[in-house]
Amino acid sequence: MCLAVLIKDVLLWFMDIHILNDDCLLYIFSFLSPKDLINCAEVCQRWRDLSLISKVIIKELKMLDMLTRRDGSTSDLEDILKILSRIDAVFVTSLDLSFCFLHEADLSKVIAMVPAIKSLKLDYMPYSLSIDHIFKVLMEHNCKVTALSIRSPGIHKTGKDLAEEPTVT
Amino acid sequence: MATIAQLKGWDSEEVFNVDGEILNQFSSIKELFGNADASNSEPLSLPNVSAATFQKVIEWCKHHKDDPSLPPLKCNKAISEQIKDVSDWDREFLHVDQKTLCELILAAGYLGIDGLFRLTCKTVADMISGTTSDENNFQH
Repeated sequence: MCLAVLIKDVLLWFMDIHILNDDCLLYIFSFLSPKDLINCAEVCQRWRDLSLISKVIIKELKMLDMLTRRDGSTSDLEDILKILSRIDAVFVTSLDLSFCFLHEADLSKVIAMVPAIKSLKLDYMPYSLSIDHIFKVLMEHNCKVTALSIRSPGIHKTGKDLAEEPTVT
Repeated sequence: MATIAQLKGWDSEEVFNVDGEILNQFSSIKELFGNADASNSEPLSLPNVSAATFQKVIEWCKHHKDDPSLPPLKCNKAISEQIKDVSDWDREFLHVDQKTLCELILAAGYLGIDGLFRLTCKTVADMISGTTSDENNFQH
């Protein structure tokens, strides 16, 4: 009963809002947070196209706040890549992947999306990441990372803030 | 103030007499009228605006006729900060159903009333933020 009412409300609301033209919708989208914008993209094809136009420029991105459907058994890679493709990821300078379910092998795909990255946080990530691998990935993509934080209950090296290490190339 | 324009919605014959102060806020159609007294000429029908909506628009414009003109629209993040403070009167004014709200946006966009356009779009954006989080709750 309650569910039916909710669905009806949502449907009616979207019927009303669809009378708006693209300019109005784009303007409305410009008020939305990146997270809401990503949700809007799921509504229909037209909204998907529009939300792609109104890409958001964010410099500091905390991934945990953006992920909506978290499921401990799978990887967050797909959601993370989706979020990065919805924003102008080239402007992201600070990326926080703490607590995200990301396999070691997938880190490279994420880093490839954010070439301007300066500060990277990989705290308490459920899947283990070796420090050597992180450096390898960062060098592979020519990232000039000046601050790196890897805290993990598993690894003994806590609070690693490396200001000097990977400033290569 | 003297009537300088006669306008009507697309869905009724009811004619609205609009004075200069209000017409000045309709930035997209005010040039049509100039300063001449148009009270004798044929009322102009607005294709995208219903009479009920137009009534609301005029109500808003009357209340906001002394507002300073807004800075030009900029498409960046600062927009949402620019209009954080919605007055009580506006909040009461926008206490309408969603269909009316959407029609107000279209009317404000069509007539070129920046202030109303921003206000209504912001309201809908706030609603969308709420709706999507509801949907998320519902999915969990």
